Amino acid sequence: MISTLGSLALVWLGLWCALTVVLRLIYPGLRPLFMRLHPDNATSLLLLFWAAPALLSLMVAVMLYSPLLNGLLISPHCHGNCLEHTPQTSALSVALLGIGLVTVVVGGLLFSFIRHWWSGIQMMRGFEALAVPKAGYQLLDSPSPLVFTLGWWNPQVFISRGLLHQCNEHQLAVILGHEQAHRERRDNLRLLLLQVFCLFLPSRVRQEVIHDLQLLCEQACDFYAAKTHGEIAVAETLVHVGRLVKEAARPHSMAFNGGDLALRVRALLDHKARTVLSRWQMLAVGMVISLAMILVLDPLHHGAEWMMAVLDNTGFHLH
Amino acid sequence: MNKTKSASNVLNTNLGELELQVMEVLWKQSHLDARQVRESLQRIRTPSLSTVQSALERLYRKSYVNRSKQGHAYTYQAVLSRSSLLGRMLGDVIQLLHDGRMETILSSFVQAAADLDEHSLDSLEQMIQDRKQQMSATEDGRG
Repeated sequence: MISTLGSLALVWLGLWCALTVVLRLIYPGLRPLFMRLHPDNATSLLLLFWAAPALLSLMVAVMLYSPLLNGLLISPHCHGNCLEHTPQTSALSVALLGIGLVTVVVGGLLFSFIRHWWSGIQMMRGFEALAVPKAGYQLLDSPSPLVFTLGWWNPQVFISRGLLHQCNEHQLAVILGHEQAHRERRDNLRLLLLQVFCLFLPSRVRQEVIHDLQLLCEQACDFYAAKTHGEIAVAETLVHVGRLVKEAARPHSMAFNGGDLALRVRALLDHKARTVLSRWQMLAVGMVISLAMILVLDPLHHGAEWMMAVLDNTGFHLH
Repeated sequence: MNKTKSASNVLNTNLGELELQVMEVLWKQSHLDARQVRESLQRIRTPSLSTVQSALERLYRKSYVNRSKQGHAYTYQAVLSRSSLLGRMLGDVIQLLHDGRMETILSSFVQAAADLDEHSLDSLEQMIQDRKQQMSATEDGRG
């Protein structure tokens, strides 16, 4: 049992690392494709793309150690006796190393997830305690022009009195439409999950990837608001709020993310250029991945056996 | 190297739920001792007196409340007003958005981060106006 679990853990981690490196290398080439898709599709695909190393490798590792699939998908071969078998380590130290490594990695991911989750909850409770509930949002009695959505599963929209006073009714409706989309799509949770899945990427790459998802989430919500209010109205509101935030930021010598604002306005004005993937196309992507997972099992079985043999030799030397 | 911290580590005004509720009580009525604060708390499960005393002690150490000795007990009064506390919390949020450290905790309609000048905003506005004219010209053409 320990031998199987340890071997499975090592295969999972090995595949996870290999997939992370491969995806990291191909991401700069795929990034423009993500940015050309409709942001609704792009946000889902980007999250799946970076969740793939952890999740796909786990699925493949479990399939590799499943007795049923083993008999069906692995080409018959013998190691002394010709019984059906899974790639197993014979060294207890190697098995324990695998279990230990997985515990540390999964523990680290869970710790990161819970830490961020708790920070968000605490912050939301703090603002909720000081806000006045209104229809569809929480009003913050502050002159700073601010609007944001906080929370993971049941996010809340917070709008400052300063922003309300400086926006007309139509602009407010656009802002609420945009923030409502964040609530429905649970964008904060998406960003949190991405942060966790990218935990082992180099810091600079992680920041880039998170920023990409954040920009796409904002664009998806802009497009959502544009369905009701029109692209021009959303673009105008963005520039208007941008000006307000910039004016308010001056005393603190701060500015707002102008690069993203320009990209969002351009995306709205050129919204027809974005490719919308149909359900069939998404299904086709899913089927290609499933097929690849099945096809990879046989070579992976032999690769894992080779890896176990190498590790077993090292493990024996450790005794 | 670009160091990142979680928001909970960098928020100066990160008050817990009970601390906020204690502040609410003290904003409504000043010069209360721990027992009176506890009685005024509107919670499904009222915390123990020692828990309330600990929360008051933390608030005192953070300089959110002041205290004076009345007989054997301390009485507390809020130093920071509700709007000042909110201002501080929003200031933290603005600062964190500016530093890009809040991006996985909240979604802001317009992020505070990099730089954009008036000219760029004017250019964006002009671009929108051009598109508006283009659209109305197309509609006129159809009409």
